[in-house]
Amino acid sequence: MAEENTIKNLESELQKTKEELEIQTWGLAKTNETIKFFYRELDQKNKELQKLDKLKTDFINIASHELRTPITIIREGISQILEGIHGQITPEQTKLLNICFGTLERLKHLVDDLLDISKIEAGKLKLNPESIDLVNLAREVGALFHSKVKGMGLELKENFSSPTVMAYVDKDSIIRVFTNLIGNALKFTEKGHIEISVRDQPDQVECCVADTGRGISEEDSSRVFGKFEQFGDHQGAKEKGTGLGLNICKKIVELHHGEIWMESVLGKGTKFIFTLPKHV
Amino acid sequence: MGKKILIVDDNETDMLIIKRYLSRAGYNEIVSAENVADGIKKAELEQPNLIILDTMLPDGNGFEICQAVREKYNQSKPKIIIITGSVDAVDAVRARRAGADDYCAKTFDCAPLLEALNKIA
Repeated sequence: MAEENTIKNLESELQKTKEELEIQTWGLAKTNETIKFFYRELDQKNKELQKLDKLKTDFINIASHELRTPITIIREGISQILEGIHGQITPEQTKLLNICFGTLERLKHLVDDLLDISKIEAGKLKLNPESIDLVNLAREVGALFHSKVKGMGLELKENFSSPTVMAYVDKDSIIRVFTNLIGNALKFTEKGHIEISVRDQPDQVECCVADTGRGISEEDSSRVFGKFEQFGDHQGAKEKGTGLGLNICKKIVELHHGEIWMESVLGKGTKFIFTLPKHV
Repeated sequence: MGKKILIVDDNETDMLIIKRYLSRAGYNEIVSAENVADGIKKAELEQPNLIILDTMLPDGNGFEICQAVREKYNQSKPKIIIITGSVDAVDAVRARRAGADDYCAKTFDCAPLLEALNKIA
């Protein structure tokens, strides 16, 4: 009798376990189906996004090419008038034309940035790497900003680990990186200094553009290298950028197999650091 | 098809999409609710043939409605499908325990829901 009861109990427990197992199996199968459907939906969305992204790149490419020619012509015309080649102009005319020229420069900068981005994204930016002294290069770029920095009451500091630091890079594009980073630092720095540094390391070169500006909040820091990102509320930013400069820097550095990152303390300043290869 | 369907979902967009796909599939008698309390009330009042429940609702979850409906009628009618916007194995098991007939993903093309409907109806 007792044995019969035990067997019955065991049977009932077995039945319960079986039912439980069935429920769990059903749950797993349903979860699996769910994952499959979500995956398919994500895949579709991804393909649509890729298509849109290509459409946008094509559009930017065509638009910027079409914009560049007229800008060059207008710029040349204004330059000639300002230089007095076509006769004397009044101070009022000079003032007005200077404003036009400045605005046109900004427009040219935007179109150049757009073209660069579309070139990089289409894989058409060809690097011509060679062995270059980055100290010399950083000094040259710094010199371009000298009068502007001074005019703003700031100081441009240099900090090099040795008199020459060689790296294997494409000169023009690295000039572009330094120019963008220094230009950016100037936009967000009201007082203090901007420091350019180049450090020789065992297997790479580390460059840095640091400022004593208002810094970037943690919320914005993840977006700084994104495309068309205008971080902060722009209060205090002296001029509005294109939102492409840092994205171009990132892409150029990555094309060199280097890394770029940012370190910032709100209210104290920001550092943009990037690494470049020493050899082929 | 002469089948009354009750949908309980608090997301307006999702509700619109589901209604559109259901009416395209020929289900024209659709009633809706946005929370647990209203869902349980309408399930009783409207006597739908099928109930579609979202897992997350402002005052609780779809499993509660499912359980309440099952306890009340203690039978396999109405059919109940629980839909979800997230992947969670525990939720699927929970749906089964609450007495749901099916459990599926909430996607923009409603394909899983329509598939589940075809199986049940």
